[in-house]
Amino acid sequence: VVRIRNNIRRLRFDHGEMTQEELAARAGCTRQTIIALEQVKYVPSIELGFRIARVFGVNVEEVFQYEE
Amino acid sequence: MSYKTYRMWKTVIVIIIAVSVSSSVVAGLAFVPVPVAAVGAAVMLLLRRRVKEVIIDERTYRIAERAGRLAFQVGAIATALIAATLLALGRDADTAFDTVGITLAFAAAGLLAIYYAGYLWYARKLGGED
Repeated sequence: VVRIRNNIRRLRFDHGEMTQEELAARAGCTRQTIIALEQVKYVPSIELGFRIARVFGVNVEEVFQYEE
Repeated sequence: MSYKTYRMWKTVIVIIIAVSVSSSVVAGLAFVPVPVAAVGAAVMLLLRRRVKEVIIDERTYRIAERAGRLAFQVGAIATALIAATLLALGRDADTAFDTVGITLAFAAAGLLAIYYAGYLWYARKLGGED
């Protein structure tokens, strides 16, 4: 059971409807990884988490949330 | 070059290599498969370098790690079981079972040795005291 949720889809739309391709290119990962993240099928490494947060200009906690 | 184009060319090259190798083996041309495979691999490497977008990332490696672990577990156990069965069957019979069984047993042992060596190497590289 994945306990880490994320707001990537919402953040993409909040940032001028950023495409999955653009986010992937800027975060340095594949589009398939962004798709997997949005479907909550994959939990990224801390490094990728920070890179994604940096793309949106927010803290990691605003992108990923750990569910108790 | 986009990833989609790269994938298309990769499929074409794999088909060309497969057809060349299989037809040369059927024709008895033993010297053809090696250069064909080498040229194919070199072309694929060159094409891959021309892809601008990221095509391999941490998720790809994580999938490969899990698939590799599964392949090792299933492969090692299956090979060992088949080897034991063949050795048992070939003990009293005048067949090649025991020879094949010994070969498979050594293959399984080799696989375990590679896994153990790799595990130790990565354990040391990634720290900890496993």
